[in-house]
Amino acid sequence: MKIRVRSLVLLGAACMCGGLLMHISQRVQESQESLKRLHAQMDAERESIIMLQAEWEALNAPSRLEVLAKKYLDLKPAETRMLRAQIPDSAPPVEIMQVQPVAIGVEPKAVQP
Amino acid sequence: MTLAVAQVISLTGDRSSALYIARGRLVLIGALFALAFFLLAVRAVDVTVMQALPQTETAAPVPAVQGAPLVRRAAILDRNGVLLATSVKAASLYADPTLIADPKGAAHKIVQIFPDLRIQDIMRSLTAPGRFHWIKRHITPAQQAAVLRIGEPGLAFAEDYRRIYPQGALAGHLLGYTNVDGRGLAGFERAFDDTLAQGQDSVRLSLDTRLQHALRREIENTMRQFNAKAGIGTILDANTGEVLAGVSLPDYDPNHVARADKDAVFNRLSLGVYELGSIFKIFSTAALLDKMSDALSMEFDARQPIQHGRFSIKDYHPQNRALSVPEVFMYSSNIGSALMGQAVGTKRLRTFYERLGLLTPMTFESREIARPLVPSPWRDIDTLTAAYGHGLATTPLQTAAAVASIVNGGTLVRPTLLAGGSAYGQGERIVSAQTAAHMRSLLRLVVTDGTGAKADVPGYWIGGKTGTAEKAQGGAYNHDRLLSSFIGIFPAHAPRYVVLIAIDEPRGNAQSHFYATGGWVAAPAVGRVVAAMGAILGLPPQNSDALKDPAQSMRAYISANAATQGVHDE
Repeated sequence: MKIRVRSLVLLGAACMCGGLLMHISQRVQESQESLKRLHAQMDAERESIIMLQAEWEALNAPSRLEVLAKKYLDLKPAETRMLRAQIPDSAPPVEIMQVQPVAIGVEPKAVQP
Repeated sequence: MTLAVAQVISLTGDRSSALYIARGRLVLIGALFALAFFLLAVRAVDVTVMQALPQTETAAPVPAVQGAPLVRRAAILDRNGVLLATSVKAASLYADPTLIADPKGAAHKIVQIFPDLRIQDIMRSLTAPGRFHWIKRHITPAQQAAVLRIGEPGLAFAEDYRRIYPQGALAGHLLGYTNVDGRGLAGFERAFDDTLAQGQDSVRLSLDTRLQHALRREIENTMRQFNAKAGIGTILDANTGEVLAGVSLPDYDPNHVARADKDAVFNRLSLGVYELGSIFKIFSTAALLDKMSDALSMEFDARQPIQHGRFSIKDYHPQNRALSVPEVFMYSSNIGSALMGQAVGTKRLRTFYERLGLLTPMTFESREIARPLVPSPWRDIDTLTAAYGHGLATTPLQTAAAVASIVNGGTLVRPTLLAGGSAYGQGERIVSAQTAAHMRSLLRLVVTDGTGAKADVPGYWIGGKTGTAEKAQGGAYNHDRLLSSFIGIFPAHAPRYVVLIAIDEPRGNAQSHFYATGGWVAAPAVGRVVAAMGAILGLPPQNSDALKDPAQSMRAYISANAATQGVHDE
């Protein structure tokens, strides 16, 4: 029996395809796994953000802050006589410094004079 | 091997060719098998080595509660974005009795984790037929871990959302609450149940948490100071009708509604109706000013009590002379107001009240809205009493909105709990701009010269009106049981805020010379709320040089011999 070169080439190509397929399916599986993990992580993070928000608001409730401020601070609520009648709405503009915008991850170029 | 044998035994002819073919086939089959085993080996390496990624330890996902809403209920924010209500995931503990190994031991351990449960109830759940019995809804992660440590396979968890209110009791009545399955049962939660259940991002309310706290604190302090039964208050934006704060004390923590008593759950602000007394003189006076352009110079004889059948209308603080309209208002003369009501006319006054929305249930983002108690039929005597706020009971919130509708320039606003409110000046015109300006000056006069002196805060032009109503009891008015109120507007020349405080059954004390009237009880409380608002909102005090105090324009109508010292009683 003569084994033709073409058959050998085809066989080799089939093997290569098989190997490639396996490699890709491997990658896909891996990616799916990590995607699932990331989604679960995101859900958990979202949940804890909501929980922390609620906790933050509870800790910042005015009634609680008032008690704490009375206990630990020498500050008092501002009285009317402490407020000035006429305060300009905005401070005079400060001269804005010339800053070259720099893209993140890019080496800042020397500023040309 | 096959090849080696073929070389050793050399054959010729047909046989040799047959052997040759057989050998070729054997080689082919051998190669195929080798390939197959190679693939198996590769797959084995793949499964055991390559896919053996470090697995993060994750517990089996907790199943969702059967029938629980799949979407998270929308959060409720105040006007500045402070969280008022939100939903968080929470595990609930249930038992599958068929898997419980040691019911008694498990029950004892559960009671240690949840001291509020009774051991008999748990035992019943752990031994009952069926495979699903709730033990405790919405437990904390720490409690969940403790239950897991019991190690009983029959105890399992299901997950759903739990509503929490980070501000606690602060705005309990306006927010309302939900049941364990997340459906709104009261307040805004009930009125907007469908919208919230759809799970939009969040709903923004008109409330300001800081103002809400200041109002609640001052009402609470006043109630304590005067040993009162209840307190009601609201802060409205006079131009848009937005409810910036609303308080009904005693109140409850919506996180623990089951613990609240019935009295505390009752929303006095929108579900309670009260005869608010002299506050209604704002409406009758506005009706008169709107009817007659020269009304300010009219005089009313307040010397004699009015007798009408078995009724008699008397003044708390008789002036014993004819009073001009500003005097009637600043001394809060009932006789004068009754006569003014008569001058307006029964039909006109009733229509005026109706247009202000005082005779029908208001529209508001709540289901707890009371129908005002209106005399039916409305006789002439009812016009006289309604002119000074008796014989007609309304909810405090709708009364405050009606006052806002007059002082803001004369266009109707309706109270709303949603941020934004209605556009300024778009409502129906109630009184002319001229009348509105006069009313603002009159309200300011009450604070500078009249019964509301204790509400004054230097720097802020507060205007307002006191109200002291005897509570009806068994068909008669009880002199000892008062509803003392004050409605303030500020700044009086261009009101932005309307502040109402009403204190139910205050007891006079030594500091108030044993008065328990609106001027002594509610007016100082409103003054303190306004002072706090100034600091919270950063409102600059009025520069008195630049503008004239609105009360000035009314001084001309006050008789020269009028007592100018403070009038604190009505």
